[in-house]
Amino acid sequence: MTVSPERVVRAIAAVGLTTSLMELPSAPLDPATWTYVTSLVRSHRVEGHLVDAVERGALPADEEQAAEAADLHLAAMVRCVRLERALVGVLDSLAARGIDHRVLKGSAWAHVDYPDPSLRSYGDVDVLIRPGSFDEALRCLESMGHHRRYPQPRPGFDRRFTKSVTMVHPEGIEIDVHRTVAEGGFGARVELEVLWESSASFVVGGVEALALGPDERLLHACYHAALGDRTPRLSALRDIATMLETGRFDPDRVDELAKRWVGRAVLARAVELTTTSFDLRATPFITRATSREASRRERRELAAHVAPESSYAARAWTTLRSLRGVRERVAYAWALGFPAEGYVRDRYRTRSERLRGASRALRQLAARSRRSG
Amino acid sequence: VTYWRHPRAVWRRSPGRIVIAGARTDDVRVLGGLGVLVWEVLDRPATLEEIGAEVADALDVAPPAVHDGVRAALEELLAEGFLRKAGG
Repeated sequence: MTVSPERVVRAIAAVGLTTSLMELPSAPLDPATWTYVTSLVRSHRVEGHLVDAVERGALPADEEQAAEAADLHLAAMVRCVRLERALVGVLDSLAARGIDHRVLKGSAWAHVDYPDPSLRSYGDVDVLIRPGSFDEALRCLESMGHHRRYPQPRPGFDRRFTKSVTMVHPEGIEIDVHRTVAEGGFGARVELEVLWESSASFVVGGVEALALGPDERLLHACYHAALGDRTPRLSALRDIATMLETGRFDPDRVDELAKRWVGRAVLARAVELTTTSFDLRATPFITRATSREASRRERRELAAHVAPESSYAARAWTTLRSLRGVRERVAYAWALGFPAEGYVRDRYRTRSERLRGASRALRQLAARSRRSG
Repeated sequence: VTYWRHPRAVWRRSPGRIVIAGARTDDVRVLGGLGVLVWEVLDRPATLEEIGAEVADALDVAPPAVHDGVRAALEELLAEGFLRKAGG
């Protein structure tokens, strides 16, 4: 029987989910398939689930394969420990300046949603900061030796409009400082104050860290999976599956927030991707989340994230349309249309790159403007 | 003397190993063998004798057989800032 490596890695990522109907092979994989599966495990960041599958005996593995799985996981854990060491430093510094935080994504989900954080690996650190403290938080990181990957288009753009700013440490560690949890119109409509209403705490390196509350965490996981990479990593979908299964969230509130944020299509896409990828049995929440028809606007906005022709300009257009008030829209359009010189220079290094980038952005914005009448 | 994990240590389990970064340095260390057992036993504060007894039990040997190894592991973990101790 032919074994599909893609299906095997999905079954590996589903190990431990009681609602998944995925099955693993009953004999060790042949060397070629194993090699391919391990490369997928790395790219989908499910090394923890691979060793879990081997240790449980759910995935038969010969001695060499078991050792290779352990080495893969070890490399991932070395990366995570480095990142968490950096996170502790960042939280210490933010606390010293009285800046509130919420830890987002990998590190938070690993500690709060998984029975053992070693199951979840990740590649950077993400923290949410209140808009009013955003500039100070960036200065705080700069004082720790981090620098911005790109300058902001115009002064004040970050605290008003950006999704996140990537700060890079000379040692290579990246800290994503978030203002909100998604790009484009979907992100612009997230009620930022709601993200701060509740929290879940965990301890890392002796420091109390705060994650989002359970409803906001599930919604963020859905926004991340549905709007992030065109093909989401299995680790991102597994986060959702884990949260759906542990059921710490309030289904009615999640649905209500998604409705208020005009994000039910995001919720539906994320839950659909998760249930399909892991062959999950339907629950009342899954049925409810996936049965809603997306509006035309939501479909158009989703396409700006996941369609093959999607682009930054397309998402910027959806942001523009979602901003409240003329002043906000004008400030946003002005910042992107006439950015500071450093912003353009750092994104497009040569003159011809700058010209190509500018003409592409203009063509895309003009096309969208024509389509929307 | 009682030993316990340094509260500032950041660590993760991996099969047969512990990946750890301490309070003093950003360097990451990978513990194996006896170091893993000692770290696992120290999920609560313990004396050398208590740690030795638990490690010996896990390895199914008599405590004197692991005493020196456990002491050496504790000294190393202390020196690297992964543990704290009090008393004695």
